Amino acid sequence: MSRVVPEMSGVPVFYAAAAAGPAVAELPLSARLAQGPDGAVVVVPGTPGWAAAVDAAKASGAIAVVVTGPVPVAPAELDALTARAGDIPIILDRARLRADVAEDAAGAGGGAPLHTAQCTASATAIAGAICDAIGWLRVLSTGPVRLRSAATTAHGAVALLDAGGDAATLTATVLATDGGRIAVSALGVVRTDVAIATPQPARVTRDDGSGAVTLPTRWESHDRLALRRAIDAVIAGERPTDVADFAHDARLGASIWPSVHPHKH
Amino acid sequence: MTAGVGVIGAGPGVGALHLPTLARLADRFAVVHIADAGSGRAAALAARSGARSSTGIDDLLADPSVEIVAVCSPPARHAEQVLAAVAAGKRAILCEKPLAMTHEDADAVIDACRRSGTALVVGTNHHFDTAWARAKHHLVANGGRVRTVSVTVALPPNGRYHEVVTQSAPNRQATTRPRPDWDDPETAATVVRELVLGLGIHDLPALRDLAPRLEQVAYARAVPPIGYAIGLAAGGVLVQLAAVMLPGGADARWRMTIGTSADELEVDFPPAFVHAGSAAVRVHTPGGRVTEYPQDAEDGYVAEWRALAAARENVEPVEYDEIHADAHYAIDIADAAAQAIREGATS
Repeated sequence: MSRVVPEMSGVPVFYAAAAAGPAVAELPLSARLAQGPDGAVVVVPGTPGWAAAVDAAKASGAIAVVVTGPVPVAPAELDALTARAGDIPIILDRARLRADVAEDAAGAGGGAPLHTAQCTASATAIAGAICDAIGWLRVLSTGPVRLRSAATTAHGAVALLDAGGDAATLTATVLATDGGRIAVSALGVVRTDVAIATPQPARVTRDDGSGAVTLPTRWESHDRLALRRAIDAVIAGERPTDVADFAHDARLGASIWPSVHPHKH
Repeated sequence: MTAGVGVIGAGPGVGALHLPTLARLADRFAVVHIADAGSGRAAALAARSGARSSTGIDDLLADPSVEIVAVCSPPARHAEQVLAAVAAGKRAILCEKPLAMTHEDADAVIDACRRSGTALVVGTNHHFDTAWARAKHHLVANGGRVRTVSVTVALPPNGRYHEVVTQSAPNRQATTRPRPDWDDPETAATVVRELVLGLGIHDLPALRDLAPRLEQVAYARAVPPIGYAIGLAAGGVLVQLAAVMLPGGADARWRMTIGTSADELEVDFPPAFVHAGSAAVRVHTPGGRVTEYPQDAEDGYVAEWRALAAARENVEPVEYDEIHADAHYAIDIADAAAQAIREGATS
């Protein structure tokens, strides 16, 4: 749970390009609004070009950066970001791949011989959904994910992958409208299912043959979680691996569904 | 008036599946003869049913009380035994899936059945499940275009399901299948081909309803301990077939997920062997709404026998062309998957 710090020493938080979100209000002892980025946790939107926004925040004296809803970026951008990620904490607020839910489910599928992921999203959002679905395969299999083969049309993709040394598959479907979901499973003697349809809370279920258990719902908002993780990392001097993890997921996602998709006209 | 059924085969597919299923249709069918290939199991099964037993197929096919033949032997024997049944004058056959392992055999079987007017049903129980008709109706009604189909199968050993539909003598427990040498591409290709035609076949007629023209198998690999992952394109639809047979643990999952431009449809089939009603059909809309259709009391196993009765009594026509196309479709996918494995599973 959140680390309690003296009331007047809350970590300053600056919203670089948007109005302050409710997260600061929900962390009244740990955070306080700041008037500028210097010495603050800076929150930037994850819209295209967010890597540059991270750099700008760091140049302005940010002590940590939170990226809200990062969209996939070009591999070269990821390389540069990864290389520069070590000096301050950078937290990526991925609503469909929350750190707390991932921690709950992490490794549950380790040893499962087969992992499957399915995602649906609109044409403009499918690359992000694929990125997050790959992230879930990484989390459940506890290992890096590698592409073996894929097939795509203008309306979807299927892929064969290795996940943590085991087989994995991914199916992506383009919807005609906004919305969609991600469903990921580790199919072993213990089966783990993760179902995500934001804004509903993620649902993680485990079945070992004696019955299915649904893990407790994580009710904390994803933006509060991200800000709290950033503050905790600053205080503890830690460097979460969010950027490296995202780079892994986005790079692999781009190899299945490039940001400039060949089927687009 | 009941029709006499002669069953060729005496394995778990008979003791745990067809005999209990036929017992649910005792007003239509009566098992009168069971034949094995020399295992001796037919006698015990026949004794339970009050039927005769024999070894080999000749006595069964010569038995005048056998009006319907159920071919439940290993897949490699199906085609020749259907042909033998037709040649013996039997005019109603339920053949367990697959109908044939080669294109030539599929042609010969359909030709013989069509020429003789033999009622033929292949036991692809998922295709006969009433939930499948409901799913297809939804796909037409929702106005969306089918984009992807994923069939995910994760199965514990069958024993737990056998135990709830029959009883096995202690020395008749199923033996554990040895693990194939997956490092040998030819072994992997051969076993995956057999798995597609023995396991994946459950869903291939339904898949053909959605994606009738196989274009290419993009990739295929074996999945240890026993399973496969296959990606293919068919009629503009991308298809993912993934299966794994596990040593225990979670209950069976047999799920077909159909991604359309408008929504996502899940069809959850019940475990094999059990009689728990139809599959469950669930629709996920982009906005997050989940709709579940009610399940029917009757399952696909019962439905396939009813279909045979309807065909035999000329209530419904025999769909020779569809059965023929289903057989070729399955063999094409199995062959292409095996070839992809031999070639290194590249797209």
